[in-house]
Amino acid sequence: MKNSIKTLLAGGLATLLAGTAIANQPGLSGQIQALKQGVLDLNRDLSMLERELLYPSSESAVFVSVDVGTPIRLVDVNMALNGKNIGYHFYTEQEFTALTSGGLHRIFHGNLASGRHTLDVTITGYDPQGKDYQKTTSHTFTKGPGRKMLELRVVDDLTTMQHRFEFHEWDE
Amino acid sequence: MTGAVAHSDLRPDGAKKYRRLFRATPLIAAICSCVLAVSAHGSFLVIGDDLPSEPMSLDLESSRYLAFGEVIHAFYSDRQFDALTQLLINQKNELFNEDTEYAELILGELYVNFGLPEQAEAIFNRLLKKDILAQLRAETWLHKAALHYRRGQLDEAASILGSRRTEGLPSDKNAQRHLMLANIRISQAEFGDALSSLHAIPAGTREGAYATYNMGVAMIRANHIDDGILMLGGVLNLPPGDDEMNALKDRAALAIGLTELKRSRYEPAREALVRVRADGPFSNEALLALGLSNFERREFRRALPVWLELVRRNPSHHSVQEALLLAPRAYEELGAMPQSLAGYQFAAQTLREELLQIEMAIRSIDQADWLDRLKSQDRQQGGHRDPMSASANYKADSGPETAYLYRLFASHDFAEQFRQYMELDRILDMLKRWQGSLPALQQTYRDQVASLEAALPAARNNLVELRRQQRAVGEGVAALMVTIPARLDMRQPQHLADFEQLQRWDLIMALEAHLTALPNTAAYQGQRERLRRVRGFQLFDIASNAPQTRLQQQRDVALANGDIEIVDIRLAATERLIRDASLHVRSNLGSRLGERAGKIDEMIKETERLMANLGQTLKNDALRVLAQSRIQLGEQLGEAHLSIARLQDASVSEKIERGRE
Repeated sequence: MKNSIKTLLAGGLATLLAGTAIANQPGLSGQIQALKQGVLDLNRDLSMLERELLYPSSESAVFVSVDVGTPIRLVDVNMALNGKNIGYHFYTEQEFTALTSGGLHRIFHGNLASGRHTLDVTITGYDPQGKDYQKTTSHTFTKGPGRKMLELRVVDDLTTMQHRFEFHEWDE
Repeated sequence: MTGAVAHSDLRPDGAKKYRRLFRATPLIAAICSCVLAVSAHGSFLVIGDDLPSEPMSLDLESSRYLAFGEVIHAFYSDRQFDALTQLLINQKNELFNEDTEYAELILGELYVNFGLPEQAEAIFNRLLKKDILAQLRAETWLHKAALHYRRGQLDEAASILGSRRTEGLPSDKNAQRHLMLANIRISQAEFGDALSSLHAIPAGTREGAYATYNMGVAMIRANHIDDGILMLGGVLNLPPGDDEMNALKDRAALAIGLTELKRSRYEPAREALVRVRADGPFSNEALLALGLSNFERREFRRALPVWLELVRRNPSHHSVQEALLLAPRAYEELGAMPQSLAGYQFAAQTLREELLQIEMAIRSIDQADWLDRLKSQDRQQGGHRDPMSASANYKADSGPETAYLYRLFASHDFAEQFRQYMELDRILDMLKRWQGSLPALQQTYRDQVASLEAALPAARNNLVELRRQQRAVGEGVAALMVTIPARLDMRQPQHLADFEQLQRWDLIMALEAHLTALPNTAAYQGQRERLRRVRGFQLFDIASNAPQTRLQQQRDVALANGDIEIVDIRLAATERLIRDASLHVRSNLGSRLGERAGKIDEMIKETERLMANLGQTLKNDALRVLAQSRIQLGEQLGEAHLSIARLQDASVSEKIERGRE
């Protein structure tokens, strides 16, 4: 009995202190790496071909960004172009963190007719006290012959502890 | 992160006012440094808020700003494969290259995370050859050391981590550096050096706690038991934290308890073991060891309740199985033979049931769909699964093997292989999606070509005509803008009349012409006089409104000019669309799409083959664990039956002895 208990103890301690043996499969590992590289190249090429097929060189996109490290939580964004809805996005905690880390979220990507357009944006957010609010704004812009990129930056208004909007445009 | 937009009209000292707040994440900080480095090389920096509100030119730096922002969003949204693909697309499109260090660094990190260390190393080597900021250089060295560490090249890793090359890292990265260095020193049994590295890790951090635990365990294994226990005590005495930290504290307490028990120091063992949480992941082991600490001191009465508590728990746990035999053993020592016999009988029955469970588990794993059932958790997440996103935790919602494989899944190597298997499963999923969508893309191309070929000739002709009209109208508006006089000349009142006034004026003119042609009689004279008065009133009306009317005319012409400009833009856009469409029709996009179909099929086959190999390895590991459990259970069952026989023999002998008396 004494011996079996000692064995038990030694076994328990060994399990706790030691790791599992590494399954050494250099061949398989190398094959997986080669596959992954191939998949990356293929996925890149297919994505480029898909883009070439679906979007003309005068494509347009709308991005959403927020102030880096903002204490105000952006919940969702709803966008309408000339009265027609073009995008809605609910931001998960992780996506919001991605925005506050400096990310730009492409909320709309497509073909826009040239000429004047009006973009209506409604956002919902929570202030640092957890109180929710909604804000709406409009922005008029002109789409030219080339690509058009729009950034809606949701910035902190620290006096009201709510968001306000800034629009930035780029024309090719 | 924000990118940099070069503006040649900004001076360097203007950069300050264009600064945007940066979150102090390491990656962002590195990228920020990198972007600032660009600024130092001559192009100026506009970051974030600083962008003007009027439309800017979509130049190279602006395109980089937008593209890199998207990459960052994907990176932090657990869509790392998406981020990697975007970077590669942008590289192919020559948006990013070897000179965009911020993109290079994140690309290297993504390659590491995707398990392509050679590609990552090539990038890090390339970066290190360049003239980059000190912090970015230090981070690149850290990545390179981590690669060596992963490959088991500990000396190379230690030589980087211990040198000045990794100095100047931000605090969190510096903690990582020292943790890695401490682990290397621990594995080389160089505890003095490990301790110095450990001191450099901020106290109370997760990294520090893990490093101290590793150090303690390594010291115990190297027979520096007292020092090891001291280190583990440091972890045990950390304030309560989240689940992970509390589990580490439990683990430290258990390691101290078992070590003390092994060297027959029962009281310190007991003191440590009672600190393991009763509902924590190590409570079964702690209860078993606590009972042993009492049993070894021959305090059977104190050992018994602890083990009786344990035998009420899930019998698939090896500690519970041990307790099933130890509890009746304690009864035996106390002379309670009937209870002991009942205990062994209960143990035999429970262990037999467990053997059956293991048999079922082995059969379950042997079935073809075992791995599919493991994948079900992941697939329940739905949507397009990013191959590099975190897998759902293994729960194996169905199957009797769950309890036995928990420990296996908790091991790093098995978990890593399973993660790789899930990664391949998601890659397969993605390839099948491409396989499914490729015919649709090819059909879309054929439809586009057919409709464009039908529409293009008419569109080209219409465009020529519309362009002619636009030019004509534009010239008219331009002429009007030039000819509208600033002076208000009432000699031509029709030029100063608004629309209604003009209608009335034309009517008066027509009546005047009509009356002039009539005979000069008294009756017509009267009418002429009346018309003259009306004409005078009308002139007065036109004159009194003339300034506003002229202003309105000027506004209308400007508006028309604006409209003409918009028409000009729209015609230019249409010309570009027609040009695009003409190129699109002539392009070989259809055949390029077709070429990829064969490649997709090949890769699907290869992925399935690798998954089958890796899956078999996982199965073998699982079956090996179960086979070991089966042997152990068999031995325990044998021990239970022997004990039953022994007690029954003793009982019979006692009865015979009594009968003789």
